[in-house]
Amino acid sequence: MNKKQLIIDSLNHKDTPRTPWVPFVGVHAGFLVGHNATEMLTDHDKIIQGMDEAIKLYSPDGFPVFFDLQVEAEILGCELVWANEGPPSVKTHPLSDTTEIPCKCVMPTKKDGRLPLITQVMEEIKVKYGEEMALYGLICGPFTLASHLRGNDIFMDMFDDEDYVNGLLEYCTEVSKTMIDIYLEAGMDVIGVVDPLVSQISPDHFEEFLTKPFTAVFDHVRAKGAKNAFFVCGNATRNIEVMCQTNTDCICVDENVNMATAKEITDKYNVVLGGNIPLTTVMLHGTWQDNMKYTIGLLETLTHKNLMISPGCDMTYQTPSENTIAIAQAVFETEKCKEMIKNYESVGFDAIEVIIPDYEALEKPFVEVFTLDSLTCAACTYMMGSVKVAKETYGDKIDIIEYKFTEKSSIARCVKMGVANLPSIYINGKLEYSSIIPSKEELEASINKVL
Amino acid sequence: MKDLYLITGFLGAGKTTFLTEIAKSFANEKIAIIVNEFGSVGVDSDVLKTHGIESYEITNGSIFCVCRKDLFMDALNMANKLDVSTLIVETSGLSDPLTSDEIMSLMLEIYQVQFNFKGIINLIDAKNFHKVLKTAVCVENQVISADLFVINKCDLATDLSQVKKQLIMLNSEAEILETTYGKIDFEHIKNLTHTKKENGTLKKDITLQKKLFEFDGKISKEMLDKWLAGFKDNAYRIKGFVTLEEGNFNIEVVMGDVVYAQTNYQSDKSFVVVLYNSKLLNYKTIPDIMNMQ
Repeated sequence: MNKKQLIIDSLNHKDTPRTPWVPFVGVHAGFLVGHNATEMLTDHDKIIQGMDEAIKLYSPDGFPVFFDLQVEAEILGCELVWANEGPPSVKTHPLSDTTEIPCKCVMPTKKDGRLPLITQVMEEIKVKYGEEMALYGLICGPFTLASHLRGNDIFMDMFDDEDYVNGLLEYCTEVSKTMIDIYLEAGMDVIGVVDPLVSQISPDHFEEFLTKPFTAVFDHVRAKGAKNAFFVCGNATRNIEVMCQTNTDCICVDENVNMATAKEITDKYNVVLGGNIPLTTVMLHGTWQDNMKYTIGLLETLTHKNLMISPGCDMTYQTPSENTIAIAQAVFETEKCKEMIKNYESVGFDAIEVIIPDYEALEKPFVEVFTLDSLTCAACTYMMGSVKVAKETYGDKIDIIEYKFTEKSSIARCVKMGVANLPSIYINGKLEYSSIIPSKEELEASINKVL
Repeated sequence: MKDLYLITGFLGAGKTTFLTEIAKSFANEKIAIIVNEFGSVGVDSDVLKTHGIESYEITNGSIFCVCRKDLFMDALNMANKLDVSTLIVETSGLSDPLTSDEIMSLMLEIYQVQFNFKGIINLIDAKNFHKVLKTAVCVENQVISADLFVINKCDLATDLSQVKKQLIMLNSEAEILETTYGKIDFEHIKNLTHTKKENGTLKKDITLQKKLFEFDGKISKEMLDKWLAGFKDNAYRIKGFVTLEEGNFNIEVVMGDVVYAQTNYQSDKSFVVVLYNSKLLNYKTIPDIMNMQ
């Protein structure tokens, strides 16, 4: 059985001999070979070395060649902050002080930014593995790109200046199409349109602003004879239906979305559903048995047609390799693995002690932000950004804190406080925003209520 | 094989003055100059002719040179057929010279034309460099790609050492010369050698904008001055043709100075093109000139 054919058949909604497996390996490949995240996104030889190792260890059916949602933003003038254990994040937004739509004559070309490096890597990986497995070229979706260019104000613009948002999204859609052309020319089989911020808006807003751009992007991929996938992270449950209506071949979600609920919807639209091994609780901090168990759970509860197994999103840098290998094993030899873990009981995070503040006795409002990690997850970056803006406004009158889910103590805190979705904002211990990034005014109103 | 020099520098850096100066230094050689229409204040071709120098303009109004490599290549191809030993190109102030090595390769590939690419001379406006480096992405790319820096207008600089520090941080390989009125020792030009910049990261400037304002009917010069005063200091470049009560003029504003040049050109319609950074100027705040009080 050809692994690449397995992916293509699945994306063509055919029955397949087994469920395809697509590990979303980005900077994690550097961890496997001793290079940091920045090296993994800037150094040709190290990228190839990391990818060779990841492909050897994880036997993927489909594989992303370069996972960094900031490539387009960097070319278009955003300054980046680089990290050792995650992809870079956007620091400055070129359109933060203007509501003029950029000229469509300014588009990325394959000579710009890191694209010469990326396309070279893609071409080499294509020669090495292109016959064997399906290669994914990942682009930053138009909405997340618009946020990178405009900054947090875009959430306010969606209420105050709809024409501007539509114009900016139209520009970003053209950028997406240009990137698709560049990556397809470099040999990619599947275009993953990665747009984490999609989970942060309502279905109404999705239909108002995003249905048209995303449909245009997926139609563009299809017209070029390639397959596509729509990646989102965060609690996108309410948006799965409208996402299906954009004519995509596949939707990939993380642990914030219940796979069984989502699959009922995706099956209705004959769209493939990919996901959703939890990145931190299971893949980063769990045991290999936890990973096997979760995967088997998915395979046993979901129908196999139009299904792909993959991590919730870009794997965290330090994910133990044995955990990912265990997932692959569970996909390839499900029955055997079932036998291996039949008596296994997960330890969980209940044993970790965390102190919950006495919210009734607080002297000033306490804003707690629960994130995957605001340095690496775009939705978390913008949610944390909105809280930092509030901190600038209120100064000493409020306290803020970020709990990163990549830390075990934060997971334990989430369990104890019943935090169901990431990212979320709690004020004085009460959930205020779950997977919705508040505008400056909304957040200030929430704070003023308890001030 | 002809020698080829590129002269870069943001709008107002003094490229034209510099170009006129060095052109004179080539007095014993046959040279041709290619200038970009919008980027240039206008090399005085009559002055150059007295020194035996031909000049050519790229006249398609390509403001963003980087968007229209084809026009630049056509001009180079045409210039290559001239009986001269040296070509000097004054690029648009907004051009992105990081693509110049690619253009040289394309010239060879498409036209089978090869140049002795001597190098990129980057004119720096000592007074305004710190400002334009912040607002215009192309300035950074011009600095990164340079083989020689000529810091011009040094007499107007407030902190020259800071300018030099910024240049070295971005490009430590290029030699730095300081001058006023674009005058430098000719030896620096003759001995220039180009180094290919392999690791330059190209960035786009999505805040650069261009707007065309058209109006019918005559207005007074006073009214036009008033209209321009409202935004000229925040625009990179303003250029146009206007029918005024006082006559017909080509107008141009560079770094705040308005220049009127009477013309015989006749038209009922006036038009003004404004080139600006949308972070510095909100075009929606520019009033309709015909309804101004």
